[in-house]
Order: sequence, then structure tokens, then C-alpha cells
Amino acid sequence: MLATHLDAEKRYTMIRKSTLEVSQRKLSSRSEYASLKLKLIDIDALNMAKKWAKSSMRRVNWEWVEGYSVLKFRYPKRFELAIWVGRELISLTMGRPTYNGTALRLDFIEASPEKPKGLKVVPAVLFVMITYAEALGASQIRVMNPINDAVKKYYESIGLVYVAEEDYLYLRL
Amino acid sequence: MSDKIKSLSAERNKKKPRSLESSVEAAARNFLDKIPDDLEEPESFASGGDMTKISEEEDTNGKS
Repeated sequence: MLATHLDAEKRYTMIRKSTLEVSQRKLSSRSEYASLKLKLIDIDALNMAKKWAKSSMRRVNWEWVEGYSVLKFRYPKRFELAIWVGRELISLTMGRPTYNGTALRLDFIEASPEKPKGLKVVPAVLFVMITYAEALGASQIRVMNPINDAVKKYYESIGLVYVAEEDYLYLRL
Repeated sequence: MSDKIKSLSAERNKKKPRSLESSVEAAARNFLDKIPDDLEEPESFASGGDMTKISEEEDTNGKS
């Protein structure tokens, strides 16, 4: 790894950690999000995510260990988030800035198949992501490749706009 | 020439980075506060493409 890449990794890890701290304070003050604990993706989260593969409720077959490893190596400015409630992993998210840094992409988000019904995780994820995007100077967030129509409509119901030609939704900041 | 125009366009689309305190307040005001209380999230929520292709992807739909 080049020294410049290592410097960027350290610098943006600090920004990611600080983003989680300020976002956590805000979410903890809202009753519907107060139980959520925000963390970067670590070995505990990746091990816990392996258990999702056993659930019949799971909609995707993503391998988070390998996927996270590639994203971490290639994108020091990436967005990453693990949300916990107590000792249960509730969701994992990964994304990265676009080529020119004008938008921050959310490439993958998965909630635990065992997530308690009624617990809202997507607004919390996008809130943290918008905070990071604003800190980087991005003017837009993009959610790539919604997996089905229900997911696409959900994003639209919280203010995102769908771009059919390239299969993503965006929110201007 | 067209590359130069694209590059200038990208510069115009970039904003000045905010401080983290300002960022979190803007995110709350412009997004979190607008989420309807009664909105239900789809079960087993997931969104994204083929994770095995992360290493092959080069912003095919995100150059700006």
C-alpha cells in the first residue's frame, strides 16, 4: 500500500469515526432511533453477518467479508456503517464517493433478517450517510440498484428520486 | 474539450465541505425530520447490486 493511500485511509477513518459520534448523539435523542448503536464495520460485525446466510428470510447472498475487504482496500474515502442493538447486528452498509466526488454512493445495504419489525434502520443509515457526504462536500447521495419495486418505492417515499436509465435513486443535498 | 467541460461541471457541483456539527444539523433538518412517523420499512431490507463485482466496477453509473 502506498504511503499516500495509507495517509488517506487514516484521515478518512478519523472523519468516519467523528461522523458516527455526532450522528449517534443526534439519533440517541430521538426515541425511535435511541436503541441504535453506530459503529464502523469490524470483525465482530462481519462474523455476525455470516449468520444471516442461514435465514430463509434473507433476500440476497452477499459475502460481506470478501466484499468489505475489497472496498476497504480500494476506497479510503468509502462510507461504511454497522448498526447494532445490544449484541445483535441490525444492518451493514457500504458505499463510496463517485469519481469526481460530487456524490456519495450507497452501494450495499442489508438489514438483518431477524430485525425486529417496526425498528427503522434505513432512515438512520441515510442520515449518517448524508452527514458524511456533507462533510466531504458532496452535493448528492445516490442509492444504487434497489433490489425490487417495494424497495424502490420505499426510497421514493422518503424523498429520493429514481433514475431508470442507470438504476439508482438520488437525493440532492 | 468535452472532458474539460465535464470537469468544470463537476467542480460546480461540488460544495464546500461543512464542519461535522453543521453537517449533522443539515442532515437532520433536511432529511431525518421529514421522515413520516408511520412509514413502514420493507421486511428483510436489502439494496444493492452484485457484490462480487466491486473490484470490476469503475463508476459506470456515477462519473459525476
